[in-house]
Amino acid sequence: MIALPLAFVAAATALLYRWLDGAGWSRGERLRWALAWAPALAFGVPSCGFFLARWCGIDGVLPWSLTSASVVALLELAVRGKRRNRHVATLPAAVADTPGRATKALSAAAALLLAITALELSDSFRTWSRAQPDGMWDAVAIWNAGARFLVRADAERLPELFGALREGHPEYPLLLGAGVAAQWELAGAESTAVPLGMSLGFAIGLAAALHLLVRTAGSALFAVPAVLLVFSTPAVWKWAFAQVADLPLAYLAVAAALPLAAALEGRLPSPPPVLSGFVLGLLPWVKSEGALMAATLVGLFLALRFVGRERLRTIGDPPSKPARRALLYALGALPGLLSLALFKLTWAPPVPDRASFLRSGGKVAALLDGERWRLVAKSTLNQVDPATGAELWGWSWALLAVGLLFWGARLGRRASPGAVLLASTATVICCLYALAFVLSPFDLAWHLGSALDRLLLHVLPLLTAAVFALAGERATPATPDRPV
Amino acid sequence: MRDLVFLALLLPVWVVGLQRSERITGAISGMAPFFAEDLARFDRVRPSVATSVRAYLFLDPELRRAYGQRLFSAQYSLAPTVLSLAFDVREVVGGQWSGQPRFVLCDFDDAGRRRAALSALEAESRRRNLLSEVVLEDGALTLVRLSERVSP
Repeated sequence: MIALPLAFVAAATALLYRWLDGAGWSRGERLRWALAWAPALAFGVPSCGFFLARWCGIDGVLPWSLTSASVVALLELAVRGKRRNRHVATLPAAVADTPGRATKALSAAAALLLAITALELSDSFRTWSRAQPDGMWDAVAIWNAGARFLVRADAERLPELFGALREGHPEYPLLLGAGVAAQWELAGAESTAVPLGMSLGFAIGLAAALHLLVRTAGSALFAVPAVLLVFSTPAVWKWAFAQVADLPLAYLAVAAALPLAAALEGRLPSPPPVLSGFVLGLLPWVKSEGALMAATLVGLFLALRFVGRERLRTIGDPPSKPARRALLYALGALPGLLSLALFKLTWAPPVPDRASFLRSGGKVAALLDGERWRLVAKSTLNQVDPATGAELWGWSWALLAVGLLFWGARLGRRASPGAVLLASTATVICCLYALAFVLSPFDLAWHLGSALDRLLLHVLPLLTAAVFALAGERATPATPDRPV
Repeated sequence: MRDLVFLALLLPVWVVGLQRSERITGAISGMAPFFAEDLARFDRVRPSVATSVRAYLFLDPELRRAYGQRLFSAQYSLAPTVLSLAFDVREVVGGQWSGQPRFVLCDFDDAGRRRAALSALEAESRRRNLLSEVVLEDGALTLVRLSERVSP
């Protein structure tokens, strides 16, 4: 059964590889983008398709499969339409530096360490599947429970059932729940191997997307080391196969940041905007934090694009019309956003006041309470400080701090717009999470203890990509004045 | 030069990270599966309540501050039956009756408290002119079916 989600990922990789068959994409580049986006397509399309079919009151495998096929067909049409209308660009994505002997040796050593990490991680995966087949607490209480409701109940009863649930966060979006349910229904069994296999797919996707993001925003030499750092961080091992939403969220944030960083860096040709939008639209369909991430990414991208338009003019903006690209981007985001809107407006029960970050009382007092801010800051420092947080984070945060000391001065909108986007997104998200903790309706110490490490996990890959993108010699973006 | 220093620093960070990560894997390996015992208990009850839209999970009031594991494992096993949590017989028996029978899962670890709770449930049912019938007993778990008496 573990093969089913992995087969979905393989099929999505093949489909994306075909779609990215545009002028200027080398085979390697196409494969990297296909691998980076495959889990989003592989689990996002069935999730939206399953939910939309159920929302229309239709049971069975065929309706959700047809809905998913329709989403894929629409994506195909949009990608093909873009191809027909695109100026034929023949510029490669970037000018690759000719690797010297030292660079080759470093790359080989990094690849060896990556292979060791992958072997160790596969051992961890086997341990999880044997020892904790149902995943951690939240997997049973929230994510897989939602999948069981979706797969076991008739479609017409689902609004009533979700409305009647009072515990286990029935208001949480359903990317994972509906994705698992779709595969359970297809397999004809509620196997724990499906959510586990999805965890593995998301982990592979995070590695591929992070690798590509560092290549896109910085130096190819530092792409594998960035993956090494994230995947040797104990917190990643703790949550990767726990069947919870945090690693998928971290993955989608990196995958959604990819085309935005590529655009800021002036990488040509651009990936199809409809696919870029599709990946971004899935972020809020995972969890509320995803909505914050999507809004932060797009907001900062637009801000950097606006202030950096002079530079973009000099390096050559892609020739396609911005309004058309924005429209295709929005069209791509539609499946995720539409699913979220329909779920929230019709099925999801309201968040009780006692659990609401906005409606529960005393928000102004909490906001002005210095003690709460101090506790949030102290808990965060305890996590990132190797002296107190090494059990969960190793020395990862410390190394990132060293990286910022080394290359922080390179953080300039003109020199490294991609890294600026990633670093500022990570910073804004950290600030938003800190604010959320201060406004928390729960006991603050308990809430920090139970959630802070998972929220930091959302930020770690983005910050890692930012720091590693600043390192090394940057690949030179192709420009119309300097074709290669 | 900074690049090389940074990559050199990555090596011990990677080693320490993997060591700590293996410890986490070891801990996971030695840990009893989350909810496993409860999941198995509630799975056995599922056929009896599968047709019911709603059911009550009646727990020992001692668990009022730590009911999560019982509730979530029961809900996971018994989905799509929606469980309402109760710590008092009046919550279980009260409210509107739709003519449908009502299933109550009494889950009390302590045998004495369980007997007392079941007696209280039966007494309250009788007081409200309801029929109370034990459907299944499985260790600490007792499934009770409440229904309205049909007038002759």
